[in-house]
Amino acid sequence: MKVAISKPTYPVVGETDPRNLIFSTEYGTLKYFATGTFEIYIDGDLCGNLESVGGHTIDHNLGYYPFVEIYVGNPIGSYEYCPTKSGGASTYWDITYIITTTYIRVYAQIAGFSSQPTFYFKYFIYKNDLDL
Amino acid sequence: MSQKIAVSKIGEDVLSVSDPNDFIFNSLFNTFKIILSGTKSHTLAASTNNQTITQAHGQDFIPLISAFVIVDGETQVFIPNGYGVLVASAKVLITNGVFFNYIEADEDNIYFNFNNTNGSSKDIIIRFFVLEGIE
Repeated sequence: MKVAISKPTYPVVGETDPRNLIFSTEYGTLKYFATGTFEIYIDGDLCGNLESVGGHTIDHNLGYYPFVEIYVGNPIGSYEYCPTKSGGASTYWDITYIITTTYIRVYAQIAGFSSQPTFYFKYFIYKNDLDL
Repeated sequence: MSQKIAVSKIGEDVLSVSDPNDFIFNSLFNTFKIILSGTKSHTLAASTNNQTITQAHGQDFIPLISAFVIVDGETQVFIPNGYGVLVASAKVLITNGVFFNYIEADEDNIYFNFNNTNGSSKDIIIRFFVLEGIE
């Protein structure tokens, strides 16, 4: 037995193409565990140490590697899907992250900034186990 | 009269809310379906960039793909356009030398592309998800 809801104009009985279904118990979905926001501020040369790497840790303590998605609001005001390597006319940023069985660590590297940038993040952690 | 099936989030009135974000499920909105999931094991050659691994997806359309990778012996997972990190400080970030460059898909296959800058080969396992159809 299954439960399925087809898209308008498609008969639900006998429909096997997932593109024509709104929902079907034959297919898994992503299930939210946690979502939130955080910022990474990179000092740059403010303290005279030419700091170019920032980081942030999100604990999840699930005990396995979860499915994760992260977006970053960059210093020029748009959002990018992470990881991303991007920049402006003379600036560069490289945002990446790693997933462990207990936390997610996000890294931001910069180059070419004359001021100290702040990156704004939105993350989604799903309960889906990567089983790796 | 149109009919729908909807489940709202706790604290939201299912009969009156209209914001998709207030629903757990609403049959008016498509769900992001995981059509299939699998793993692909591969050994990356040493000191070689642009290594492409091919995996058939078995769909009769071009699907959207998500993927994650782990390098054998490591305890971190990373995703396309990313890399593993061994050491990070305020001034320097040292990678594990394995770069998951990108994913591509066509009517038949998924293509995972990697660089391995290490002087030795690296065993990897990719977890991939075949999601919605792109076309």
